[in-house]
Amino acid sequence: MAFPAALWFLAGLPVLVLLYLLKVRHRLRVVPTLFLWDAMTREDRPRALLRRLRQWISLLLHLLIYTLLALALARPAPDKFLAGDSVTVLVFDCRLPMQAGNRFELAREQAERVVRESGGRHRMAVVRAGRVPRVLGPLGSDKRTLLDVVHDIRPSDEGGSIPAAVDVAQQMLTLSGTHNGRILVISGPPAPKDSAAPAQGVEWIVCGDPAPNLALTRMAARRLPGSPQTQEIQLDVANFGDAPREAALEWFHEGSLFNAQTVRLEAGEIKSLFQSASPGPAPAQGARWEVRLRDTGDDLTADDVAFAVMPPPPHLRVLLVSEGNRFLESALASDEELSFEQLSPAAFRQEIASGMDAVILDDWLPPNFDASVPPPGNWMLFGRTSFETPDVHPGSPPLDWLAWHPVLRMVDLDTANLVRVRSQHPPTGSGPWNWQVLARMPDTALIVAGELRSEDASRQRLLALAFPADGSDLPLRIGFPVLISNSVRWLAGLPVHEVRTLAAGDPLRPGPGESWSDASPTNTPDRNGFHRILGSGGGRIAAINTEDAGVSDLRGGGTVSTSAPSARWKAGWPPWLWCAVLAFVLFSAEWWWFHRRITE
Amino acid sequence: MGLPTDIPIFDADFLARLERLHLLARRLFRGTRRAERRSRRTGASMEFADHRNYTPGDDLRRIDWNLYGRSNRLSLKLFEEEEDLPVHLLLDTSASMRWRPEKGGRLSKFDFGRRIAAAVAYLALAGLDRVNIHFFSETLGPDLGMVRGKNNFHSLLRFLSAAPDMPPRTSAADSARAFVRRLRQPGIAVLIGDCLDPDGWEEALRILRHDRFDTHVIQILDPDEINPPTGGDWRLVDAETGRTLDVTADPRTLAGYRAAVKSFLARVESACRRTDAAHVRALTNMDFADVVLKHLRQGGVVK
Repeated sequence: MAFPAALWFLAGLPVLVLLYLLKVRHRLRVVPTLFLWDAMTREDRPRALLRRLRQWISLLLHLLIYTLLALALARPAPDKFLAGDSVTVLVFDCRLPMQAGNRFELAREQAERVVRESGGRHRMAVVRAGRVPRVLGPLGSDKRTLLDVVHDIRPSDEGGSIPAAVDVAQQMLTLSGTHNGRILVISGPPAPKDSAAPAQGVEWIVCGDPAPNLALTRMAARRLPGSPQTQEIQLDVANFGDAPREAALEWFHEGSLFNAQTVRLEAGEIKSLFQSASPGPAPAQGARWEVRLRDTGDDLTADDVAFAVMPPPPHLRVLLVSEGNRFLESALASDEELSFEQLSPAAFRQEIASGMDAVILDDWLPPNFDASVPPPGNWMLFGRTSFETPDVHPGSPPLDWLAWHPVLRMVDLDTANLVRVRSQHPPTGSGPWNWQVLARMPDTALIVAGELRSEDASRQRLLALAFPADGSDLPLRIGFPVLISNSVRWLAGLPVHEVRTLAAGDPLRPGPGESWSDASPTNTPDRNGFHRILGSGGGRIAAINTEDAGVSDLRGGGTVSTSAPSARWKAGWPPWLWCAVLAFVLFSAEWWWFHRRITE
Repeated sequence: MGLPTDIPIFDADFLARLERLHLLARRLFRGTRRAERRSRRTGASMEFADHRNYTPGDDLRRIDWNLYGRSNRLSLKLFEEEEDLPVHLLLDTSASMRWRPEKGGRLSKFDFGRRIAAAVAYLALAGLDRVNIHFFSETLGPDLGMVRGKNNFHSLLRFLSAAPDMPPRTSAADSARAFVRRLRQPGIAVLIGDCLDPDGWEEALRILRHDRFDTHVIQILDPDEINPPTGGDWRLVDAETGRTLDVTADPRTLAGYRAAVKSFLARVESACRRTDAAHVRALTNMDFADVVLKHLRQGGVVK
């Protein structure tokens, strides 16, 4: 009962009865004779009882109509919700397309209505459908709390899929242990066909109408390989409509307009545009690029803008100590963000190493080099690591390896052929160094990572690989320069892959010493734009985009149909509506029977 | 010129058209004075009636000499006698006749009947018939007395306008009995009323027929009696008896009422047919001239 106070209207029933009793029942009318009326009433004797009851039937109908109207105002809960333990998981679509027109407001109204009309024993939870489905609170029957949850839902620029959220809702139903559960999806068009519904018992409320849309679906920036001072921005513009469209496109760099053009797209066309520029040195936080579509006239404007950030190139200095290794030299040379110097082992001196971001020792160790307590600097050791034993391990693929570690990101060791591996065992026990085995073979550690963190926040890192660079077929693979690049960045303390572009709804993972300027508890930016990540050296800037072209398509045709959901919705009229309709029907019947003017 | 009457005086044109009509008698009656109406007697009119054999003492001027030349037999030519006719107008003055609807502004049935009675009386007087007017309700009331000639039309109107208060109920049979007892000479009886007698008018018509009256029935009804105007909850009061009846006039009830009215009208027509009485039904919303000049002619009351 959403508005129980409306039941106070029932106190007016006695007044209605009183008015009825005071009502002038018969008007006097003189007629020439009664014998014709007598003849009629003789023939109509079977209806005499009904006629006597007529007055009271009218009163009864009026009382019923009045009661139904009071009930309709009170918004009672559906019977099926009152019977036994029942659960509804509300999947609320918060994705980008819900910002089109008034879809989001309609969806919120529907969600609030569903909460209000739920029975007292009915449990309910809300799942937010976005890039990553999120449960907004546990199952509960407190309407105030649920309404607050619904009220606090905000639209977002996220992509994502409804079926993923429905899967989460399905799991919640399963865990709740109820046999009387349903999933109610509140989304915009198009709604899936019956056959496309992810699971049984899923009902849909579709808010809003299909609409054409012009959108920026992707944006990226990079430095040209041959000309690092030149940046290239790639942009995808899509026309999700049934007619050709034309719009003005404006390009901004650091908030200043530097180019404008008109773009014309045929119906359904996705066009890739490229823009090159040499804007000069980028700020330390990164260069901000922004593109806007003007005058689209769309219902959805959030996808008429896209963002990108071009970070400043790092300047990493690497020292390679080697008698000559073409593989290592080529791998270092292929990374344009590195500058490396090469020394022979004979020319190596410790003072040189301390001025480098990383030192790579190719199957050679300086005299008295103890990897467990290395001299100052960040070291990458190939082959000889000082942890090794004289045993040579038979070559075999690694037993397991930490693919998530920054050093091994995008490197595939599963199919690597390692032929000259030395057995090594990292130090154990509690020391100032933290040691971690990144890849392991039977009875030996293949790759060992160590880190020293001192109280003055200075850091020293070491990587020990139990095989020489030419002791495997890794250098023949694309993963080798990646491994070298990852390793150098990790040793230098840089993020291996500096995240500068995120999809709205992706969780943001700040690096060590970084924090997100937004106070969101989930660290999940859900609106497109530039987001500042606080950290040393002024922090950095990340660009957030929707990154889901599919959600910008607001058209409802094709493989979707809204008939099934609307049919379900009609079948599921809320009780107050039934009460109101019944009251109207009774009112019409009462008027027809008792008050209709005879014109025939 | 003002007259002591509340009945509108007919205009000259209407009176002229009335004078072209004659009250229709379906049988021949014996009159008392010469007039324009054929009688059973043979007389001195120009209309040839028959031959009969000459007997001594007959008027020699009436012998048909041409027939004597052909047949060598003396025969007398007989001519029809034209006499006057007693015309009795019986006007129902019961409460049901005096009832008038709350809306519509129409004449009451009684006023409409008085106008018809005046018109029929005028055309009878114009035909040199003798006319009498009787009021009746539960019994027979006072009558005007036989009058003859158009110069008595004004006195007839005065009598009609000064209708006495009569008992509110209707008993056509008792009134007919009193009527035939009061008269010794049959004639034309024109009954003007609504026929709303619970006992029916058939007995009255039978009595009149038995006493050799040529009867015409002019039934006057109000449109609201045939089609009650609205529905609703009503306490109906009988204008004649004061009895009440609670009725809810829903469509079904009204349909039943209309069926009862239809049956009643059919009964009246059937009674008239069985007693050789002409029947004309007039509604108070009809054009009065149409009723007199058209409907009475179509109904066989005048020609």
